[in-house]
Amino acid sequence: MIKKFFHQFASPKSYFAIANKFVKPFLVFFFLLYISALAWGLFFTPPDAVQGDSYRIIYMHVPASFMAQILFVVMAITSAVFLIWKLKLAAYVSKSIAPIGAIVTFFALFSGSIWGIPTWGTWWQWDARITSTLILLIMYLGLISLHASFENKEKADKFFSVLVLIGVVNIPIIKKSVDWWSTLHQSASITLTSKPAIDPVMLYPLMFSIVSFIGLIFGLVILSSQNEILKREKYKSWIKNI
Amino acid sequence: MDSNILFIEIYKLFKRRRAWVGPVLVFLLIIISFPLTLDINSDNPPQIYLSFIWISTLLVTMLGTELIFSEDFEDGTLEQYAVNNHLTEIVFYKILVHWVLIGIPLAFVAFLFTLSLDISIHISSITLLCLVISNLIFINFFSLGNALSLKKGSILGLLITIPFLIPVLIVLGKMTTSALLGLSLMGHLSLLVGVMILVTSFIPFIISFILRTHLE
Repeated sequence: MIKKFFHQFASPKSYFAIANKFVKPFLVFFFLLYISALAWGLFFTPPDAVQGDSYRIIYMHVPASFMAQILFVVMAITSAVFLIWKLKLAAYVSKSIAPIGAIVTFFALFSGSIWGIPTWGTWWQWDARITSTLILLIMYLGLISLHASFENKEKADKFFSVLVLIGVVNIPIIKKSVDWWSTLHQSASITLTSKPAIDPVMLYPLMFSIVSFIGLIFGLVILSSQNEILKREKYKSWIKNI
Repeated sequence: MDSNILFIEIYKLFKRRRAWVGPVLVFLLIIISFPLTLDINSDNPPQIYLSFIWISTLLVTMLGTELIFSEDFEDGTLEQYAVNNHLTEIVFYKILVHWVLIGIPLAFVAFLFTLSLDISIHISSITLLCLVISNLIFINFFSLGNALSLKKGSILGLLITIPFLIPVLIVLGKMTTSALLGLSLMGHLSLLVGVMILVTSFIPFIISFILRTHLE
């Protein structure tokens, strides 16, 4: 029973049908949730003691940077699934994650530099975490262009997956870079093991916005993978019955 | 380990003299122009020259490994290797030969150059060691990039693999800083050697997977 539940996700046809049913309400729900998290953070929290009101960009910057790393790891997992079990759907999903990941990473860097102007006095610094996030952005862009440059899409899928798996070593570097080198970027205030260093009044909207942003972006990924299925399975007979 | 194939590869590369003398000469020309464009008499820290040397080695190894697979791919030798399951071995030998004939001479030229800039022998020999190790890493990754862009002949495959080499450059930079301050280098050096061993052991398998996909 459980096996059947999971196995039906392996075929593009049943995945498409299931996604069609729930993706639009899913997206609307998480979008409204994110907007309410932002409103909570912008209007109903006190200003910071040191930074004043300019810290509020944290409610956009932290979810975006967290998502940039999560998306790369998810892309690596689906690429590994594609290479081991040869499921074409896994290749479609990982290919559709790449552009969304690139946009989210760019937004994280952009909001980070906007935050840097009032607090650090500079909008760019070549420290470890910012440079490795820039490398992440370049990797996303390289992956998109690699996939687009091949005529034969099966070959393109395989090369894409191999490159993603090599590139995933960048993610631990990003996460740990604030601990390994003394950088301008502050170290993690929220960890799994210790009490958070940030006040609960600001912590709760932050967690709320992270969770809602994750849901929002995953909804977009599912929508984009549906698009990819339509593009690649153009000549199959089940497409006509949608 | 078939030593006949190793010697065949050495001979093949050695014969195309332009392929391995060329990169060394280009490197020489590039690093000679650096003191001409910078004011030598002013108090330039040696770190600037060392970073020039590393970036030039990066670019010259990119140039030097451009034809690593294309000749064999075009005349069908690569297919023969793939059919006989020798592909990983061949890739490993090719990378090794390119390293010995291009990478190590590059490191020696850079060593002589740093000596000529009045950089102490201690730092110059550290540069030599680092260059020998990191050239192997560079050649591995650029062969990966060349394998990806085999049929098209475009530069895309190479551009994609440069982001993977940026951490190596960062470690090299930090190593110079510590060396100039007189601090211990063991940490950075072990990281570099560890990356080299990891990369050299795994990249031939990945490249042979990519080449097999190209040959289908």
